[in-house]
Amino acid sequence: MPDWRPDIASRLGGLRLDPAREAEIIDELSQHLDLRYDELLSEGATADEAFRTAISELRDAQALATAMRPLRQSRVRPREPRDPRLARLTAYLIQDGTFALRQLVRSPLVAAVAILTLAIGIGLNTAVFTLVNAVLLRPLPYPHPERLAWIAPYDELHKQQVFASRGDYLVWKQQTHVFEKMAAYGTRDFNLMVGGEPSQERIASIGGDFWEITGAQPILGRLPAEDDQQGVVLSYGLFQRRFAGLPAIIGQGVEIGGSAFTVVGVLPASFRVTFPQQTAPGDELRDLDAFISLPHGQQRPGSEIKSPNRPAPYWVRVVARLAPGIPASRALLEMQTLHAQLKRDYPRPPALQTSIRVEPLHDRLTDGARFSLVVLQGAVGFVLLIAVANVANLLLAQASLRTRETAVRAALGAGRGRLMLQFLVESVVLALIAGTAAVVVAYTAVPLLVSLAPFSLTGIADITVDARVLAFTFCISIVTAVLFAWAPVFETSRVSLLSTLGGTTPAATAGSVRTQGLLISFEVALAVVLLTGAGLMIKSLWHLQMYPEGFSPRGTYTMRVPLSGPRYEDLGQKHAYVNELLQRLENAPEVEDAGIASVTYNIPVEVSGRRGNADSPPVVAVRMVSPAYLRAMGVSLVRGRWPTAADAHESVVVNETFARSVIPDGDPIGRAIGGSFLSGTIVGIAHDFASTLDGEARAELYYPWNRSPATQSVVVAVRMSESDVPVVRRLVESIDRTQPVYRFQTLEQSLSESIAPRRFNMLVLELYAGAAAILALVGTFGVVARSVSRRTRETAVRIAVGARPATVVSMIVREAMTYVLFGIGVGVAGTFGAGRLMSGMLYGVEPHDPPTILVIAAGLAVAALVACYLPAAKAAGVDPVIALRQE
Amino acid sequence: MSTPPLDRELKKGSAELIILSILETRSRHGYEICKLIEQRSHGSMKFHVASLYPLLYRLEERGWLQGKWVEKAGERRRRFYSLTAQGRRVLASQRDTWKAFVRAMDLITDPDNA
Repeated sequence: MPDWRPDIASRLGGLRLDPAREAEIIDELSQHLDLRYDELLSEGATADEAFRTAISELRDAQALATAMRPLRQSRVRPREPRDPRLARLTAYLIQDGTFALRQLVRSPLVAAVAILTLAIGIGLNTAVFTLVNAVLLRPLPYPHPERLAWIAPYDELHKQQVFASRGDYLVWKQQTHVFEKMAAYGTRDFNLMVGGEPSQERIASIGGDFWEITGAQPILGRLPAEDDQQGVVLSYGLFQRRFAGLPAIIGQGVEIGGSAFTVVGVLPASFRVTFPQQTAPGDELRDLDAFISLPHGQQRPGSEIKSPNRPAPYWVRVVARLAPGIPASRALLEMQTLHAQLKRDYPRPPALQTSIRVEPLHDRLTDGARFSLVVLQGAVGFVLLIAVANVANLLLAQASLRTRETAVRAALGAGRGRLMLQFLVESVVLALIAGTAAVVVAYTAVPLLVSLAPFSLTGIADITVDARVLAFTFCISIVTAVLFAWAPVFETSRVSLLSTLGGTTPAATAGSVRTQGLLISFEVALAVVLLTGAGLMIKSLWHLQMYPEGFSPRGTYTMRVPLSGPRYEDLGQKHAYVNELLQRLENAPEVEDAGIASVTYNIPVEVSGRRGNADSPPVVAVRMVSPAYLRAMGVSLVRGRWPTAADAHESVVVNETFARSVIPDGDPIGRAIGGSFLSGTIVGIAHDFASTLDGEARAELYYPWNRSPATQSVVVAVRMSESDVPVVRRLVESIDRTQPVYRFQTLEQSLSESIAPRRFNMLVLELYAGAAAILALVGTFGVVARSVSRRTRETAVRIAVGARPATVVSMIVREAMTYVLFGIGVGVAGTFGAGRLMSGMLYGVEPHDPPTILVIAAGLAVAALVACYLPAAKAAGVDPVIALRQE
Repeated sequence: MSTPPLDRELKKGSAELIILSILETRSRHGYEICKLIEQRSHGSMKFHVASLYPLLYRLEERGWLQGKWVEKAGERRRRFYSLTAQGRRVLASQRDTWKAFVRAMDLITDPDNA
């Protein structure tokens, strides 16, 4: 028979047929010609004649193509030639995918448990990653975020960044060449008077290229020029709150800190300044309410802003935008040179010796949260790993039930790779379903985390599940799938064809039992690490909440009074106010003790008879307080006495740390102090206390407030019963209506807030550790239960031949517990690594705290024992006759 | 074996009706369709490969026919064509038109009616 195909193919050549369709047509036409050829032969034609007649029915070379051309099938878009291997893989994937879905439907319980477990694991990871993404990964919402830098003097003595002087800033701005833009800002709370109504607002005083750096565009009015000393720009929040969102306020006059200003613009609701703020301890972090210009005039580098006629901060902070192509390191070099020169030209007291730091603004803003978030992400990753181990175990059990199916497929010619691919696809399908559910979990968990998160930081306000988060979820779903597919794939690769097909019941191989056991060890080890982490956090918090000896804050209320406005520019007027305040509080029958604290100076203090270098007296915190302040704060004396009314003017009290560190070898009481503006005699030693619960106690000296060279806003501490709070509040506010009391709370509240970040870390870690423990125990229970049910026959035989049920139970429990104990051992070893990582989050407890580790290990072991015992006892209670008959 | 010109013109106009009629009773493959046309017209009408198959494909694209590969034990697979429901409706309507046309032609061309 002649081969017509090449001939037909050449006639179809000019058409754009789908290759598969073309093959069909060639097939069909050549069949036709075959039949025709046979017919002609049977009619007596020679082979040659038959061939020529048949082929002539195709007519001329163009006839077929001409007749075909108008057809739709002749105009198929040309397709890329497909790689046959790829095509085969695609076909396999589709086939396995459908099979996987059918498999899930067939065992809905297993599918539901696996999907739920994974959805929680992946969902929690997604939720934490959403925070990580918003806070750490997303760029700052300002133009050229990658070039924004933070410039700050660094106090080498106290190891902390400090404010900059405006005089320094002006020199930096004029004399550096590495920055394209530079701005200074300072924030302070001032009284805002609108139509005779006061409110306390956070006012930013700004200078330099602040608006260019932030890229702000007003929604109403305009932004003031730098030399506009009268204009104020409102935040959207303030615009709504105090001005009812009325556009007519542009051009209206308001009073800020007693000075007249004109509203020139309103910023959009989306605009937020997330730069670090200038806050006193205990101040709340809040958005900036309004923006005014820094006062004019050249200040001396190193000194604070003095502006008698205008509200202004004393010090500023500095942000800059690096010139294109300039790395922060080069900027630092230039700043260091300039800083050294400034220190030479304008000598500063030794206590104000600083170096200079330049760092990316993003780093500075995320510093506080980075550590917490990284630990959280790690912890939640552990939870996912445990979930993965559980699902792997579940699938492993499924796989061993399916060994027959696998063996049949292998016998029919499926290669090992093909079988593994199938399990992998099943896992991926499972993980992708779980990943989708996880997004729902994340959507629920994110608002919860945000409401708990203490870091009121950049990005936290507009947290969203964006493309990067979804990509993350997808990736971890796939990674997860690969991880848990490993167990059944591994199991499958060992299936022995003959034994499986020949046997009646899929028997558990020693290997699969070991794999399941090791997965349990793995889960338990992770749970130990997480639980220990949570345990250490709980212990830290417990330590933190134990107030130090001699400090009992219960019953103390604190509030702040701004002392701002034109009436309080003069020190004498401030003193008059505070004296009046103290007088009224002292006379009030409701008040047990009351005092105020004002400024704190970090300055060198000389103490008579102190050993050591007289040229470098120790720098301590000198706090300006009224005589009863410490008592009102709930602090008691270690030794000595409180200042009396008669000698309050020249008596000072020091704290224990002062006594210990400044005068280690003698009695401080009765010694004279000096240095700077200080003079007086130490009359008492008070217990240490700090305004934050996790603050380190520092050497402090309590000095009469009315001898301070300056008084700023004051903190008022009052010891009273709760029912008297309104009376006392009214009493304070009635002194001057323009000085609203704010931050009125119990001392315990403000102390508790100071450790909010730790509490958040603990809460979340506890949550995750709890989830991890439950997952691990459920996993252990499940594995033991399954292995017991598969060994029903063995158990029955043992009991039938006389083994006591107790022996059988102990055998099963012993086997399972070996893996659990191994896991606990590995976990305890793991806590050493994790503990080192966590040490920054701990307080008053070592990362390797033996009691904590011991309690966790023992607790988990007992729980696991129960989880093993329950199914074992059930197995031992089975009637051997029934069990054997079932087989 | 060339077709007379008149025959070609007539065939062109009625080709669709011919194919649909051939397939009315049962499904057939291309060669069979070809042979049946030849037999039923006593050899006066013939379809060649180069015109038959494009016509079948066109009717298939219009949804009047449906082609299906059929495999039988010991035989090569063959493509069988059958009428769709739409094909049946078209056949009925074309047949009516054709009959009316032929009647009209008869009336005009029959000398008895003259």
